[in-house]
Amino acid sequence: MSDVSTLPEPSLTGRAMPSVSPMAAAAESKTLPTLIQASGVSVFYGQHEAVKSVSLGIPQNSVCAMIGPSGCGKSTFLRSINRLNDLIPRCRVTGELLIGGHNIYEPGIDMVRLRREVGLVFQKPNPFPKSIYDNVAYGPRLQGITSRNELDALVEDCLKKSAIWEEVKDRLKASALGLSGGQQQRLCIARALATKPKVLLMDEPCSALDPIATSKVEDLIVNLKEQYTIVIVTHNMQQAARVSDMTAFFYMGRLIEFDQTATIFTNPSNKQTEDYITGRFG
Amino acid sequence: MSRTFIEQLAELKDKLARMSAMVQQLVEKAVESVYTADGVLARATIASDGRINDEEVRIEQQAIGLLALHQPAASDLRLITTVIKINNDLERIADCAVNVAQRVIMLEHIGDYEVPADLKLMGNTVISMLRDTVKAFNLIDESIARHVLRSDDVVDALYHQIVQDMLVLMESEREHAQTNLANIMIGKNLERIADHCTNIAEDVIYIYTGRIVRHLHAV
Repeated sequence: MSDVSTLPEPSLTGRAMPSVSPMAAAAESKTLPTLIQASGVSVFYGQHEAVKSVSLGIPQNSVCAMIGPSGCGKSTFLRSINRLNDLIPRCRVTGELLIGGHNIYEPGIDMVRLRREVGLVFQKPNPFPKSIYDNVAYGPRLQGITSRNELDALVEDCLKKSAIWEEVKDRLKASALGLSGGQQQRLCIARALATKPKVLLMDEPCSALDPIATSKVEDLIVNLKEQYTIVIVTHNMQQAARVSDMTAFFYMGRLIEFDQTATIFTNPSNKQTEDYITGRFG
Repeated sequence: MSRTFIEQLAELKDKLARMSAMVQQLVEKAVESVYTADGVLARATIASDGRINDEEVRIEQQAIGLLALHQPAASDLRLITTVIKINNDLERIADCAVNVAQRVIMLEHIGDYEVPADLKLMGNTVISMLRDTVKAFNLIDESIARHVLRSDDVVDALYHQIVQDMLVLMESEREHAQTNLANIMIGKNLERIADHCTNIAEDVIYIYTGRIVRHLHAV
């Protein structure tokens, strides 16, 4: 457990709420090795410090949800995991961010390889204006895979993993833009999987989807963690509770609390976390 | 969370507080009817149980409604799930009080009923325990709840003593067997009330700390 808040913690009734045993939480998370380790990560947009010295360790093959009110820095932190912030002028990242023990902000890092290993799924489905097949095959082709058989197998595998194969297997050459929103989002997940990433970042992947499509994507997230490590930003508290193993609560750029999701949603240590997830503020 | 939810949650807690006051009154009346061998009071006690049953259903419906409509988390979730459990324990306490009152009615025709000293002590201890239990919930006070847990040992010891004493008396005074059996049954129901109080006290500790202390003996 990591609780970095320095603020006092009066409870709703005005008394300090005792925290759960940090040892118990640590023991549970120790069962999986840490894949993503952030140490004192800060992200600046010019002079503005959007993420303030965040330290946390995300276990491999787990789903980690990032929650917090708008502007709290959760998406900025998410994008720093595959250095997407580098594309923003005047954006600067300090601290150390390790994936599989390698500092991704080290000079000379292979950015193409990093983005291949750390896939990103956006809020709004953004398929390329190409066929369903070509959307998934796009990344592997860029990587130099030209064998038709190899591409066919890869496309089928990724579409199956994304739980959309049965819906599209008979129209792989049809335009991806003709799919429904939920299908498009699952196709985008299949496209992200095609480059064989270790980590899948998802920035509010269900916010533009209806409840049925949301449910399919959530089931998919839970299934995908067997092979990938997933970090998801969401404004939907129930979604965070349903799909994630660990939850990080951000507020005003700071990581306020990071713990097992069950603990965060039943017995958070920090008053600010309690207030946010119970809807008292934010 | 909406203002409505916060208000409804406060209303739910108030309703349970009112229910616990009703149950407390019922138990006090039942025990008083034993002390005074008052059949009229015992019948009035039994008649009051219907209101408690109705209230139990209303509280449960409201709690389930809040869970379904608002998907609460953290302390709100702990409070609502615990209200459902405490509500059930309170209703069972009322049932035990009714059982006690029914024994008093059975004793009416015997006459000259005298309460054994240990049974009176047990009744007073259970009433005191129930008062503390209600107070612990109303104030969400962990220390009072832990005091309730400790009191249960006293009630258990008194109950075992009463059973032993009554068995001895049943051997020597066969003509009073019915009275002695009634004393055991009254003791048994008081002991059950104390058990429900400990359940509620454990739930209060859960609301306050988030830790489930049930089945842990160190209090």
